[in-house]
Amino acid sequence: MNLFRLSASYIRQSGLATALNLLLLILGVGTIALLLILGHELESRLTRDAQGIDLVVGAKGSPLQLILAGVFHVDTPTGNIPLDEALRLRNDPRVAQLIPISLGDSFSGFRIVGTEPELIAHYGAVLAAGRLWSAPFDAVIGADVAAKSGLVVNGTFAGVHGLGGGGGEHAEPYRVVGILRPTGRVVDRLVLTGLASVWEAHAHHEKENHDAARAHTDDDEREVTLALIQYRSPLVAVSLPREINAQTNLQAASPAFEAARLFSVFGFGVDILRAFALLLILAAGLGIFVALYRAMDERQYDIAIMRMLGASRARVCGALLLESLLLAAAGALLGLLLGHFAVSQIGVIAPDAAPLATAAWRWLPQEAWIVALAIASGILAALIPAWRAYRIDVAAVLAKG
Amino acid sequence: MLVLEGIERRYGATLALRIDHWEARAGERWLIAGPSGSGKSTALALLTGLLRPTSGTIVVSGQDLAGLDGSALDRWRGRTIGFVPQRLHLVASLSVLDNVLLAQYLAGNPTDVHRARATLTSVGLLEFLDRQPSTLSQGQAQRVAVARAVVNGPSLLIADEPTASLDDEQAARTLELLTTQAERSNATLVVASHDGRIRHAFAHRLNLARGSVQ
Repeated sequence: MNLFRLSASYIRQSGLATALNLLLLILGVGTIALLLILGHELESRLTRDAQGIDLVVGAKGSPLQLILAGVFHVDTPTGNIPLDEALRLRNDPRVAQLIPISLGDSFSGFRIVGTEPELIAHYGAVLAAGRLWSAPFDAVIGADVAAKSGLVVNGTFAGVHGLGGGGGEHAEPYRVVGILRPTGRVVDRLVLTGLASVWEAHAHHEKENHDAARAHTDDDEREVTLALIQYRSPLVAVSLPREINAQTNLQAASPAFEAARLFSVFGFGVDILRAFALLLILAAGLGIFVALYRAMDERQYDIAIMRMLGASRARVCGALLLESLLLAAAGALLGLLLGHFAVSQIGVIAPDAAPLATAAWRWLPQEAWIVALAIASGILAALIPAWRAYRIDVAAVLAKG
Repeated sequence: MLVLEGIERRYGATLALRIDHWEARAGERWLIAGPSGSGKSTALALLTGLLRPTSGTIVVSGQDLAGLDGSALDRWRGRTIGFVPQRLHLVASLSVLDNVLLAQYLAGNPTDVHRARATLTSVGLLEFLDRQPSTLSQGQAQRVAVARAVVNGPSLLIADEPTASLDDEQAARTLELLTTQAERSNATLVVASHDGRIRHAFAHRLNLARGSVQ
């Protein structure tokens, strides 16, 4: 026998009201944990994918769209830009590296990216099998693409016009010449090929459509979708983007800036959800308080007899506090588990979020704050009942029996 | 064993109880008699240290209660006094055995399941150890309350109106239980009651209507 067993026995006995309070607490803590983990995972994924890209240049339009298309590979690009204009930037002394990227086709939902081999090095990827592309329609596929499609080296597949699927198939099939090791970055979900592949694919496509736009294959009028730029020095951030936006037909957008803007847009929604979850925790704390306070009318006899049996005032207060704390701790723990579980299920249900299935079970330091919050609400809830317990007139309670 | 000297307890100007002198020796059986409102509950509260006298001294088992305070007094009470309240007040969320173990724990004694079982066996409840108090009859619940009161081997066993709501047969059995258990612990038994049926069983009586020992 000890205080823990005593408090646990009261919790077991109190039934429905306690179960409801516990449920409120679990939902509140679970929601906050869910938001926390999702926010953290999203941010770290965006940060990982944008790492090493200081600036993206592409056609004029929405800078956010340009970043989404070029860095995170989720939106359609703003348009195309002349290759020679992009390459001119490569010679700018302020630019350390420029990687052109050509988008437009996809293969079963994965984007086919025409680019230069530097992109692979940029993402820190290495070949798990095969080699890099050397001819048009040679393709190097990311680890996720290989896993999902089952393609192996020397396997062939048809590119589809458009980024979302549903477009017409190109006549010329791609041949897998290399497969990359997993990196945990966006390159895992990309099909990489030479720029020439994309140009040829679209030349074919346009011929099939009786479009006489031969010009696209002419060297001096070749186009790419965008280019990723790494600065030679961070100081360049002040001058180069402004210069590009003002003096050329290109648009320059900073991934860091646009990602921050994106966060501030949906951060508002997250704040509302978080406030709602805090309200749930508050309601649970209030529920525990009401339950304890109402139980005090019956409980005063137990407290009186416990005092008679030798318990000090502090000990009967402690029993009440412990009861509330046990509830709060159970709610916090189960809530955190629920939050993590929910995130992992998002990963299972949504293929695009598959990495969440494993990432969901990483524990964040901020979760300690959630536990602290729940426990604080537990202590607050028990303060007034504990004070009543402290002040009970044992002789009077036992005498009125 | 138990000495009260010049005790007065007042609530404001009202005198609730006066005991000029009361002395009880170890193992004696005492009845505190008197109609309701005569101060029986006050007397018990004074003996257990839950109330302080307005004046006078109380010595129980060699301990002057004025010299104890706070948690030391609580602990002393748990170890020295076994108390059977009129309404029993078993902790409803705990089993019969756990109610008795709780008494050991709160008195600051190590919880001794063997001893608790032996005590419950001695009041005839061996088969009821795991039952919840709400499933017990009044008589069984009272036995649990008595077992809870004596498990720590108190030197003073107090019962408040133990027979008030019982029929004659049950009242006799309860009295028998209390005296047996008091003897087992070598405790002084003090019963506060206005029940005329049990008067005969007590050689010593403190009649509070007149506030003096008879």
